[in-house]
Amino acid sequence: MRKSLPLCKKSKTENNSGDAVPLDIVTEVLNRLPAKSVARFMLVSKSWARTIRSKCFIRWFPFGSSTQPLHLLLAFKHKAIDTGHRRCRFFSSPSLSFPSTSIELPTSFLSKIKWPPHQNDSLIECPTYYVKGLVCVGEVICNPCTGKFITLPSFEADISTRFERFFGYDPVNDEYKVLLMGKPFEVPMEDPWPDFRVFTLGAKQEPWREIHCSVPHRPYSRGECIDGAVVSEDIRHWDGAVPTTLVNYHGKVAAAIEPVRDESTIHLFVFEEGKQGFHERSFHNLPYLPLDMKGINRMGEAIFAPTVQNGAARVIRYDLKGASCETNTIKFSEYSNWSTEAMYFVDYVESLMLL
Amino acid sequence: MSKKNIVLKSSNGIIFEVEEAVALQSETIPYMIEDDCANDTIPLANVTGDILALVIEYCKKHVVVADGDGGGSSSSSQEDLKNWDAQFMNDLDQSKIFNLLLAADFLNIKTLFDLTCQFVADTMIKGKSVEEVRRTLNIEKDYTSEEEAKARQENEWAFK
Repeated sequence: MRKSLPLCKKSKTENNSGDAVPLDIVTEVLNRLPAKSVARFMLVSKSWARTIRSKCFIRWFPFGSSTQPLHLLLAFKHKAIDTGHRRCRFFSSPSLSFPSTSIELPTSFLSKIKWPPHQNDSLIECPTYYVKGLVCVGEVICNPCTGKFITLPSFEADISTRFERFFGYDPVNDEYKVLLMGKPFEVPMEDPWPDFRVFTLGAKQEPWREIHCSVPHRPYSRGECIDGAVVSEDIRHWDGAVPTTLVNYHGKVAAAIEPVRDESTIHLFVFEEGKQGFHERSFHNLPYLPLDMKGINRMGEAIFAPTVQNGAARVIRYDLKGASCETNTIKFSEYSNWSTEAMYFVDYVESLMLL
Repeated sequence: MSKKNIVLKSSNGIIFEVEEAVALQSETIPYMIEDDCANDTIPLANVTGDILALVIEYCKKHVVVADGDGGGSSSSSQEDLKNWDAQFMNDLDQSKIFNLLLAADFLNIKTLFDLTCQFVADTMIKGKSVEEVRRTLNIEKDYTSEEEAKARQENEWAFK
């Protein structure tokens, strides 16, 4: 029977005689629970713990994740000037979907993490990424749901090499990967960057694997991971152009030019895999928003939010299809200062990775 | 369209005659027909009469909407069906629910399986303590106290 866990091996040998419900059906039930309940029920029995910790269960959790209510993930990153320690606090805002019944949306506190300075701190200060339940922030990969994290291994590089970091998920092999692109000081800005290294989460191989990239690339933007491929803009193509944001637009890569004061339009340049060029889509009549676009969720709503806020944030959702706009205030118990960075990620889904 | 009936026989020998469209919501039954398990009666060795009656009640309710697909099932009928599902599940006791879940799995009726799984998850497992879940599902504790304390400590966040 093809159910939600298509690749799971049914373990018929588990010793749980006397159970009213066999373990493979229990697995299906567990898959429909919130992550917190699932983690708690690892204490029910050893066979439950084994099931829950299995790669297969974690991969397909939670059931119907593409149809679950939309959540927004908020992350507040802070760096202590004196000690160099970083901390990050995570919140999620439930049920961000049209039409919302309330203007004010509560947030739930998920977790907080803190990590010491890292050997490669001076090399990179890269964007924070969210991919399929995990966040790559600074030198750690963290699960905001469980509050557990691993520190990326350090690597050897010349002090003058500039690095950009990207984070992605490969759905074919079920692997999370960090990609580093490096440019030694002596390589001119307009030349392709020569140094590519990959770290695979949970791999038993050497920590950072050097790879060859057949596409000459000079990263210009933060990356966006779509369908297992990390995409970033190349400096040549956007030189001198208006700043753009890379977004996932219904599974396709799109570069978005956000509305400015005198033009209330979003321009999307949508790229399709295997095709040259792009097609342009424009959405008009947006109110002027002095906010950054944080992404487009799978319902086709563009989310705008402020960079830093205290205690509450005004989040604007613009439905690209219906051309309607909704303002929500989300509240959280976080008070930031100038050294705090507030980050928003659309389409947040709970994960049981790093249990 | 000519209406063909299918005869199902429960493990305790109770006979149900249903329209083909009702029975074919099960993805297992077509194989049994192809395999020619029986000329006119399909024996279901894993499903008792009272549970089979519930399965058929569910399938009869849901076959109407599947038929109406051409005309486009309205959102109100979708809503009605959801309410009906909720009521249907609420009227069952625990042992019936588990047996219905097993029957839906065996007969491979996807929507009934999803409905039952979600119901068990939401009402019988979700808010419960570890001990309550063990009791409900008749599972013996196989952790020593030390192992249990350690496992609990590793996932402290889940108990807050």
